[in-house]
Amino acid sequence: MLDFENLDPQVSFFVDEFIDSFITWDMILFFHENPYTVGSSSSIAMSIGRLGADIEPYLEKLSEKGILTREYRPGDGADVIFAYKPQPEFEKMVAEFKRALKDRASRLIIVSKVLQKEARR
Amino acid sequence: MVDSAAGRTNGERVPTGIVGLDEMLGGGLLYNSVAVIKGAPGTGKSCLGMEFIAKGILNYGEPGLIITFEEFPRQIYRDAISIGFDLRAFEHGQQLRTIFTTPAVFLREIQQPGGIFDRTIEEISAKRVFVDSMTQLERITQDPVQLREIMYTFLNGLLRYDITALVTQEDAFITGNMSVAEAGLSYIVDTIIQLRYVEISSSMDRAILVLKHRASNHDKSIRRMLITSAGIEVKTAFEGREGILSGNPYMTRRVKKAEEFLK
Repeated sequence: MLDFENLDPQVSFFVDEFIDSFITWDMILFFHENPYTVGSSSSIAMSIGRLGADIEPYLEKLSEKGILTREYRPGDGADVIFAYKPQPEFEKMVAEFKRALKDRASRLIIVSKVLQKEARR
Repeated sequence: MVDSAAGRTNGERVPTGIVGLDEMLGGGLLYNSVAVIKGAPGTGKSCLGMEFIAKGILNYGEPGLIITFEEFPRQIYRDAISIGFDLRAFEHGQQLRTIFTTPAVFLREIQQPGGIFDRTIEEISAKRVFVDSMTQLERITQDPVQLREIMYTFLNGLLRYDITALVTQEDAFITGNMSVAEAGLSYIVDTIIQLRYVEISSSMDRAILVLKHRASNHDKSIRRMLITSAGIEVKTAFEGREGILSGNPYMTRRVKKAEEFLK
């Protein structure tokens, strides 16, 4: 039986607040490790091995939360370009999240939390 | 005329920081120009580019920008560590940015006034740019005329700024055949540095040659190049061997006779 209380409160807050799906999980870690990535939804999707259409709503959510910037580029093949612009506090939380994922018990708790969110959708 | 905050002038050389290569180039790359490094996979193109950026920061106080279309920045940081450079630390110190994007997005950003490229150059006052690799521009179009126009736009976009750029282009052949001008890139750039594999005594060496250095005298010799844990070392020319660029060099008659005499 998993004891959710065993998860670091800071990491728990981060997961509750930002990690609403496995796609968001992948994207946040990807941007954290490759911070100056600039791309459209399809190019970012390729980088994390997902489908552009699947990740687009999550990219939009991260933009609304101010973690990504979102710029519209008009013209032929008009596109929206996303880039990572987190606050330093957010970067610290991602670093803690990454550290927690290395611990098996913490990782299992995080996975369960995200699964519960995915199931509620 | 002083053209940059770093005090570089038109016609001045921009040292790569790789001693042997700078000797070959007569002091370095041409200021505010684009040089291409050509070579087969694994010949050391990316290592050379990373060192150009790292030495710019370390030796000349010139911030750098890396644009990567293929390798993730985290892979670049890892590879740079293995040749002695902590690029991630430079990035934290605002002396470097490693932009990971696609050729199509980046081309559009270069053309966009106040786009991400313009802003990044201004934010860190970049003086050196490394693009890895121009071969990826082929993802935008297969039409050779259009591709040449794209490359021309791309390179001129880079040179709007007070920077010196190094770009890579992949050769299709590991040894032997050597092509000059994929999509005309070799004609557009000011300097061409060719890297080659050379098979000598059943092992692979790396060779480096400056094929073109516009309006400049340069070393025409083919030199041995090593990739070490402390960066790239450009050694002396391959003495006593001919046919280096074929990938299968042979001993000159003089060396062969000397070897026979010693037996």
